[in-house]
Amino acid sequence: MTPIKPEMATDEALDAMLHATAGPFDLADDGFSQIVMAQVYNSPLPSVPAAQALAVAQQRLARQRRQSRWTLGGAVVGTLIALGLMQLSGGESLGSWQGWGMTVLVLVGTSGLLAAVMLKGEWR
Amino acid sequence: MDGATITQTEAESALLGRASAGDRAAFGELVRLHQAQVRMQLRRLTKGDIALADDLAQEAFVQAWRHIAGFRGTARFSTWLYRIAYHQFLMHQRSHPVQQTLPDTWDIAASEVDNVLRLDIEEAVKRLPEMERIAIVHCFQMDLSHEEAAAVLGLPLGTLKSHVARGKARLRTWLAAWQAGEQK
Repeated sequence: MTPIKPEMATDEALDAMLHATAGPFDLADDGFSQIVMAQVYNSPLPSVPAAQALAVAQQRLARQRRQSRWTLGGAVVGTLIALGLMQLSGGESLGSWQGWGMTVLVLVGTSGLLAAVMLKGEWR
Repeated sequence: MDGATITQTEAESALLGRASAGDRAAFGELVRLHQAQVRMQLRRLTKGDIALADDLAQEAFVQAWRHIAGFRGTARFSTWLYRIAYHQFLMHQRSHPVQQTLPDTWDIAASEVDNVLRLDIEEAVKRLPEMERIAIVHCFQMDLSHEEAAAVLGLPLGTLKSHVARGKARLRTWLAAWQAGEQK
């Protein structure tokens, strides 16, 4: 027990004083560990890390596959809707030169999107 | 780092590996190695309530056993244990809330002042607002680095440093008030 003194009011002195109150870290066990271990022996075994890691990896893979499926489906449906809207709008049709150009553009864009999705979904 | 420290760390790693695989005896060794630090941390946090501190420490070690597979080794094992122990302390506090009566500003005219400032520095720390006290306990009385203390308390480093700075400022104010009182 250290009484407070006025000279301790400076920053360094206060730090030193506070550090001096650290510990003690050599506390006698006094049967503490035995009590803890009695409870530990009544507790179930912790899960094995390898099995846990495998489960986490499997969940991650399943999530990635699910995301990929949804994204691929969304891209295909989006492409079909875009093509359908082009036909309905009457401005461009698959029979015209501009219509084919737009179709190719949409398909190229969709292919790029699908490639990016597959790369990200499977290998990230 | 001296040879003894390296040996102890290697021994601890081996014990951790065995304990993670379900070896209770190895975990028992880890309990014996770390019981003093964890119990002392909780004694500080509970302001010297030895019985409560030991109860919380027991629960902390049992929780550590249940979750030892989750210890990734990215921090020291002792830091991980301190974090679990602090969590136990917080859970206890939530179920047994204590009203803190100390005002944020210290009124040097209050009759308490002389009594308080005659007490030792540990008593002064106990009278700090809760987060300032907890931050100072871990940074100074548990001898942890600021980074380790922030990890144990689950606080951003900047927030922890703010708590420490405010706590120290408050302690300095009390000391200055005491000094002024002495000079009168």
